[in-house]
Amino acid sequence: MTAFTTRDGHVDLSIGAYVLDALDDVERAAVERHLRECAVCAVEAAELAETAARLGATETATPPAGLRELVLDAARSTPQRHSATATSRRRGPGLRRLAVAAAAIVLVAASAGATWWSQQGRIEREHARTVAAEQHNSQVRAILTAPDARIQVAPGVGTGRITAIYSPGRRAAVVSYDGLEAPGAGMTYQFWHVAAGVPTSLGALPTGRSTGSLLVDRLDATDGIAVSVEPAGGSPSPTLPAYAALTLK
Amino acid sequence: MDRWTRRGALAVATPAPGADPTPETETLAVLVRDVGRGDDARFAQLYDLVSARVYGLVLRVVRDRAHAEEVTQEIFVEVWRTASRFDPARGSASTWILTMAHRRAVDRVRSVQAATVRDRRAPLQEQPAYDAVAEEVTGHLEQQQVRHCLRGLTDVQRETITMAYYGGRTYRQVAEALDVPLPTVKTRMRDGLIRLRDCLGVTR
Repeated sequence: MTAFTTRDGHVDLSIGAYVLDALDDVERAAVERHLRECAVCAVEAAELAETAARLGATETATPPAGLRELVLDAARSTPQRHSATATSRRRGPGLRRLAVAAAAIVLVAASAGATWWSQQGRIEREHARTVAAEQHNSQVRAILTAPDARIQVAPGVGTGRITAIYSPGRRAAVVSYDGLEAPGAGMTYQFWHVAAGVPTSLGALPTGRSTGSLLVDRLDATDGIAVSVEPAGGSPSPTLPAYAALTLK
Repeated sequence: MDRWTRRGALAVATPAPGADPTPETETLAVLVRDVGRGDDARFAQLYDLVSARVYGLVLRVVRDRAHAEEVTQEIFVEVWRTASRFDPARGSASTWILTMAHRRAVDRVRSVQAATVRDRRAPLQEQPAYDAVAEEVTGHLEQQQVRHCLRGLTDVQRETITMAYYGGRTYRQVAEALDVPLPTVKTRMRDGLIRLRDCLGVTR
């Protein structure tokens, strides 16, 4: 799978908000996933994180005197991490916030509304996770660089992400999926083009595939893209409720 | 006035406020390295050196002393717990600590907001405009530099960044508060940070 890069570089739409801790948990996880894959963005994120930390250094205040002993005591009774593979866990408030965010995601998915996010003019940067089918590259590039191309992100996709970049003028979209959680033994995801309520299969993913993209054409505004969980090999019609859905505009 | 702290044959210099930050960078990195090896005397020294910055940042973000105390304690315990994983090649120890501090402070703001029944449309308690703070003439050299560089941003860049960073708000909340589209907020945050980065001379 080759990564598609525009003339200007890589995805960075969220890196500023990311280093300012201004993203929600799902968006944050998506950025972190990208940073693991993209060295250029990782460097930029590190520089901007350092910059943000400079902002932090401007605020000083003397802590209450008793805090020092509380901290030293707490450390004495806390074991240290030495494993390089250990991941830090957020305790207390962090866990509460994740639980609330997860509940919100379930509610949004149930309402079948799509997160709409449109950009004026050209898409400056989007790091399309594209399956490298050579015969599609020029078509994909045409969509991504089309002046009327818009990005839409499907809500409620757990820690993964499903994105459609749609060009109404070309009646085509690049639908990218990334980090989809395993759907269960013997199951896979299947994509559908929904026009006037009628779904047409765009294909079922090979089992175990969690990242990639597909080119969809003959699309009109108000058509939808849906994703359902099906037995390996796919089904003739989608199993409802859909795993994710978005409506093109 | 320099203060020398002795521990056996080793001494750790506490640089005067306003002094060239470079020796302190090395000092903090050494302290964190030693903390990673379980040295609780170094941990106490580290606390003494950075607690005002950590508590100050947390207090600015959470705006409540009780929460700020708790979060500051959590941060230092996390520093103690994960010090062995600090990699000086990836950035300074103060960046590492302040990044952790900011993250936890924002986590606390979000969980308090989630736990409190509150009208979403009610404005969040407003921060004083950062410019007001910037009129302070005195201050640590580093602080003056940051204020100077913030003044070099456009209003939207500065507002989005300070609302998010010091106010603990999500970019959606910032977009709503400033009545600016979501993608614009994200772009301004990024290009504002890039301008700050270049003004402050942050490179890797």
